[in-house]
Amino acid sequence: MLDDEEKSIIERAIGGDALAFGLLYDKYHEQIYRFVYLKVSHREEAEDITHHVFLNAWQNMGTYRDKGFPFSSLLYQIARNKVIDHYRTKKTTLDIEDLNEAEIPRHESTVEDSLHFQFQVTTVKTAIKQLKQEYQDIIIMRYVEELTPSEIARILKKPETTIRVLQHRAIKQLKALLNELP
Amino acid sequence: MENDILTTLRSLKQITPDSAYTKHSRMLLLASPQVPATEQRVSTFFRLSAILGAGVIGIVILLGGTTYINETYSPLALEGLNQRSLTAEADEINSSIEITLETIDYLDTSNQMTLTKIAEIQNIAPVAAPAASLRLMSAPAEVATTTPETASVDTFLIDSDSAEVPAERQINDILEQIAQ
Repeated sequence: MLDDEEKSIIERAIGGDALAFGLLYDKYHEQIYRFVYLKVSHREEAEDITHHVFLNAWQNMGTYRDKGFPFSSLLYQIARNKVIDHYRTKKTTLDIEDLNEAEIPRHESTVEDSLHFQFQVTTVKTAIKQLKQEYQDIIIMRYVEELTPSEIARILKKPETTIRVLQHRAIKQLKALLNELP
Repeated sequence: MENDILTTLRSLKQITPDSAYTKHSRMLLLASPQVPATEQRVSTFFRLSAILGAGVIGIVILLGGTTYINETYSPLALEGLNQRSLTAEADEINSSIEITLETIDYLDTSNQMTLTKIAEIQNIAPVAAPAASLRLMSAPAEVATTTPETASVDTFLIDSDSAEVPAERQINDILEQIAQ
């Protein structure tokens, strides 16, 4: 649900207030970027797609109607469509193993910890990429962004019970894939 | 194992966009104009209309193409099975039947007229023309069995010696009128 402050920001943005939309951008751009990045696994492409997600949202704010869903659900929906378009138009895909490890920020204190973290992240990302799109969305939203099943249900336009079932299947499949990976 | 996975997944939250990109993207976004709502609605209306129009045209082309192929190349499209030619043929047969019926009707009417006239004549001069009457009495059977083309009025003309009698002359005149 939208809090009152966010509601008033959204109303101002609908009215064409660019600064108000800037506040929405500040609040949501990191999570949308992460969502896109985990799906395309390429920093520049993720930046480009994320920019277009917000550009699309801003240009279409005039027709936005508050239906009680969080504003992020609109952004996630645009992001999902943009990622699908990205894969539809892009003929060649990047191998996740070829990714520059420097793209993932290092927050660990020691070099060993940092390397271990990098390894874990790369492994999980590789496994996530092998899941089907729906499972990818649910894993990222539920376990990375820590959205509630009801929020995910609104974004994916599915019943909450279905989301819980899909979440269970997705994590089970991810576990199986991680066991298979060397 | 599951906890490790969940911990690793949560750690992915550390992924953040480059700050330089963020500033640049934000600046570009806020500098770009917002599309007015009315313009968007008009654009959506035209887009939907175009999609609908294209769909209708597609259906028309598809149906037209299917009909054309069906009529032209279908193995079932034999000349004898063509509905139009069958209808034309049936119309032709119908009209020829009508013509025959009209002819029959005409001949029947003329026969009836002849018989009526003969009956009238018999009523006018039953005594004056005994020979003619005798021939005329046997005439209806002959008229009914012969076709109009073969039954000549000469058959009924009175050629007896008493043909000079006015009554007999009158019969001859009537029969000639009928023949005409």
